[in-house]
Amino acid sequence: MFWIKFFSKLITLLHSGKDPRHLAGGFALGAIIGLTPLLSLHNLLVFLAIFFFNVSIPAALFSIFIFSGFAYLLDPLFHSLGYYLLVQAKPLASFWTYLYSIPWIPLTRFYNTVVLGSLTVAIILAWPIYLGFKHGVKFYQTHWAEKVQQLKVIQIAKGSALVQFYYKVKSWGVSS
Amino acid sequence: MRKHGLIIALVVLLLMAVIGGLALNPVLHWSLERSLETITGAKAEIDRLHLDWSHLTLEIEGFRLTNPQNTWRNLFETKRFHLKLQPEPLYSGKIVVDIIDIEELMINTPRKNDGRLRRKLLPGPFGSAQAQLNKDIAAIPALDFSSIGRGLAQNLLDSHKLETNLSADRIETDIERMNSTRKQNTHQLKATRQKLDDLAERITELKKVKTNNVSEIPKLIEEFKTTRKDLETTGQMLDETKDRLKTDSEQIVNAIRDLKQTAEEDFETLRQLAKLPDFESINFAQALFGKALLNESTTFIRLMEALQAYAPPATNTAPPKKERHGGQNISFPGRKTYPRLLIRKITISGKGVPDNALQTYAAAGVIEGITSEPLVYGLPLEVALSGRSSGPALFTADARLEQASPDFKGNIKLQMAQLPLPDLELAQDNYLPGKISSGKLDVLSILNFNRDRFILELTVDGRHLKGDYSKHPAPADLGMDIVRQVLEEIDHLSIQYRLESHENQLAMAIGSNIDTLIKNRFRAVIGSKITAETDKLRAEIDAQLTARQTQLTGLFQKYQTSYKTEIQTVRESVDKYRLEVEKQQQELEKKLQDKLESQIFKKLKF
Repeated sequence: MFWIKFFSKLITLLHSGKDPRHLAGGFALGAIIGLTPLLSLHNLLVFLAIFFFNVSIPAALFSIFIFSGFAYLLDPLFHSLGYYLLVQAKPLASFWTYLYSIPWIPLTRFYNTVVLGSLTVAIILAWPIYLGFKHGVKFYQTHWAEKVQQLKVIQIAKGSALVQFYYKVKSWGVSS
Repeated sequence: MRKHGLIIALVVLLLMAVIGGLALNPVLHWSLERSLETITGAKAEIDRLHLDWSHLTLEIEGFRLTNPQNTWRNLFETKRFHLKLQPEPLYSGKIVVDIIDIEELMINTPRKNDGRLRRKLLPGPFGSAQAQLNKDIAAIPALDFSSIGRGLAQNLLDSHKLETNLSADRIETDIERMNSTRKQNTHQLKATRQKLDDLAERITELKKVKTNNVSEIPKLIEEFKTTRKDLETTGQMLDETKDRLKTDSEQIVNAIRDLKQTAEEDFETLRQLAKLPDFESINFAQALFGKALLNESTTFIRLMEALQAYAPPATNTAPPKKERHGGQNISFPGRKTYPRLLIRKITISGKGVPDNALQTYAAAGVIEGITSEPLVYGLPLEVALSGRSSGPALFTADARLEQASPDFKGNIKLQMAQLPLPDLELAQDNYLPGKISSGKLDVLSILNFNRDRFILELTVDGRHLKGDYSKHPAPADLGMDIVRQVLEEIDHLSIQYRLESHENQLAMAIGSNIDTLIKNRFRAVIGSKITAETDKLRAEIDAQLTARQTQLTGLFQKYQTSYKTEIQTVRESVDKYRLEVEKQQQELEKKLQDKLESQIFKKLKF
């Protein structure tokens, strides 16, 4: 069931007809939210960016869905990286101390090892994810879209409730 | 930009502002009451709560917190509670309270209704230690003096078979046996009487025989001799019977007399059976006050658990474990580093007039340095509080907690002076009075603690105390009576209580001058009681002895007298007849002698 839903979402996204840049932008921003702990101040900014900028919300949601799964498995790695950056990387100690003393910065919980580690990885990977997803979408739209459209399973999926809902939301003009 | 997104966001923010503005205070009001009730286990009431976002102040009017130990009284009640927050630490997710101002704080005010809620058991290791101490208290022998006192002598007599009675029963059996022997002997006496009658007839017949024949007189004499022999034999038999009767009588009389010695032995046996409880070894202070003091100590134990949990980790602890999914928060020093929660200062105005003169206090004082991170704050927690009633009673509370020191330690001193006690109601107890109707009390409590142990020392001094037992039922036993007599009026009562904890073990010690007072009273009362019971026992035994002796003597004499009389009568008859026979025999012998002399004289003349 999980894989059916996964491919259904992916196919819907790829066939949405949107600009690959918008799809990739939404995907990259969603990856940041997905990789980092949800209840962090920076995620509020990312959410606002997703809503206000012209990026694909479904792509962002899809990306959150994908990367949240990875994030749980990668938490120990994020913790190790965060611990290294916060404690063991002595040249950065003064920078963290400075940040800590700024009144509102601690609200970001940057002093938490998993938050910092996951945010660091997410920021570093944001651009490659954007580029990779953009090129991937272009390639798909050029070489695979037609063929996939003809598959019987796609015909059936189009009739599924999720697809119906997607089209409904689309008709509201939210994702315009 | 997405216009719809912007509109939705603005609408949501507006809704939050309206809801927050309208509902936040009521929600905070409700939350605060429920939180306090959860913490204390008793009702918390707030009349009005207002949170001012612009100035970051919280104002509470009419705040009452029920005393969990006595749900008809408030732990404290305040007219106005004002709190001011510093804004800057809030951005760091920290709460720093600049000042809490409390106006008209009253302690121990009466409530209009019962503030009881369901209470939780004491959690954690102190729970098991307290349970153990409760078991030790329960194992203290109860003050049970039901074996002393009323009807002791009667109880002993009822429960023990006196040897006196057993011996008397045996004597009675002997007397009965003698009586049955006498009945047989009575038949023999009858036969002897019959024989005597026959002999009397024979003597009469022999006396009728008048003969001067020399050859017949010797025959007659022989007849009289035979009769005389029979009479002597009969006489001997009667004498033997009389001697036997005398011997048996003496035995019975001696046995009856010896019952007195048996009664003495019985008395000694019963005295030894009357075992009295060893009240000298009882710690009356612990038995009387132990449970109540331990229950009151629960407050201190909870306080200790909270304070010791408050202690920062010791410096020699191992490095923190690396968290996996939750991450690990790393602290950094800052120009203004605040602990997560800090209440810099609480001032209590001391205004207000306590209404109930006896048990309510108007409080005043200062508390400084309440914080969740003592090491970050760096200063000790200090408390200086006082309370006054409208009478002479005062209380003071001073405390200092070295919360920022590696050797986490502290001391708390609570003192109450001249606490008047009229109508101070006590917990229901058979031995303690229902209330103290007059007197004054001084209480000094000193608590010293560190992260591992605490020592609580409590001294209570009461003067001119009068206990009221009017609502108590009559004392169940002499011991309860004595304890109540002592506690009804005491010039000076002093109780020393020490509670010590170390490695989750609790040890309690109670001492008091009440021990000496009660034991002296016991010695006086029990002593006189023992004497009275001893005399009663003696009188009972003597009465039983006299009764049995009288009964046995009567029974013995009843048969003995009649039998003795019979034997005596027969013996007299025997003696009479014997004398008569002897006389007749002598006459005949003289007659024969005269006849023979005359015959011889006649023959000599020829």
